[in-house]
Amino acid sequence: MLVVGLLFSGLNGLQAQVADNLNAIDEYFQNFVDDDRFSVVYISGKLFQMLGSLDKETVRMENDKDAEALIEIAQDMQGLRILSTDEDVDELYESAKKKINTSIYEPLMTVRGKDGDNMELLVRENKGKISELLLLSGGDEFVLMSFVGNLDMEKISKMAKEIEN
Amino acid sequence: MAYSTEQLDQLLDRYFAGQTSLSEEKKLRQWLNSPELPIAYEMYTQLFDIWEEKKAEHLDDAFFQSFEQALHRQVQPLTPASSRGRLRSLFWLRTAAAVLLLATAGYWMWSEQAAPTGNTIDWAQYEPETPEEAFRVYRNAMQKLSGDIRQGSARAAQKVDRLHDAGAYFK
Repeated sequence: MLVVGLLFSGLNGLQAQVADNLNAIDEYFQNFVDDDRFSVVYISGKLFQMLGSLDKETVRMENDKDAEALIEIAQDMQGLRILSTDEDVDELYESAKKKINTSIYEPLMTVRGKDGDNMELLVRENKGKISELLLLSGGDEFVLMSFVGNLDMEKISKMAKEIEN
Repeated sequence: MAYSTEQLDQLLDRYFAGQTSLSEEKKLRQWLNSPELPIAYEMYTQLFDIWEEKKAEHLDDAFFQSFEQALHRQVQPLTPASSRGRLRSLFWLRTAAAVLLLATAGYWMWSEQAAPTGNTIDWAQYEPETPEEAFRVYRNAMQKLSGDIRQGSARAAQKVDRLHDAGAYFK
């Protein structure tokens, strides 16, 4: 009976943990994903891997000198989810901000502008490594972006300095 | 029947202890699917069916892997002195594990039916159709991220500058 008890408690704990990991992102997006106001885009890890094999010609045609750096970072990406809309921006920003689970996400950067161009950048860590970068942004457009993967913040911030808008 | 229930028991025990090879697992699957299978073993067949159906959906691979690992972790430390005792405890463990798995699988199916929209989002429908399109989306996302990070840093720098200016008055 003790063994069965152990098994039960072990599995229940595990189940909760796995569910936690699986749903942390989904739970967040779920509130909005079926809402017609939003445009939703998802890039899977598999698609990210395919970017590596993109024809150099195509990349050059994009006229983007940072394309190579982008593709290098893409190799570490396991998923990108983007949710955006230009309706009810402030309201959505506030409600999304309230829903951030602070036991999972740690704030990296917060901007609060007078003109409403607010931004929150959060990270989720797993075993000392950054496993998710969550960007919540207001202003003209409400954007919620989740980058999942083995993220190297050094590479990303280096690119952030160099990339042209 | 090309196998004895003793052989089947042995293989099931080894399977739940995580000691079976791929070919043994295949053999186990065949045995469980054979028409002569004793009724007492039908729950294992059901278990394997659900298992494979889930695997086919690519939904819960990670979960099942962790689940199997957890089972193995729970089973392995059990090494009673007498082999008869060990066999008996393995039998109960195996039964308990199977019942638990069936109950969990049943709960999933029930919850999926009860709430068709479920907790998981079908993200595949939002994927760009070509890698080129995906690259454009990804590049725009990175530009947005970069722009926001730069803006954030610039504001932080401005604040620090203002603090410096304020400090100048108190010199």
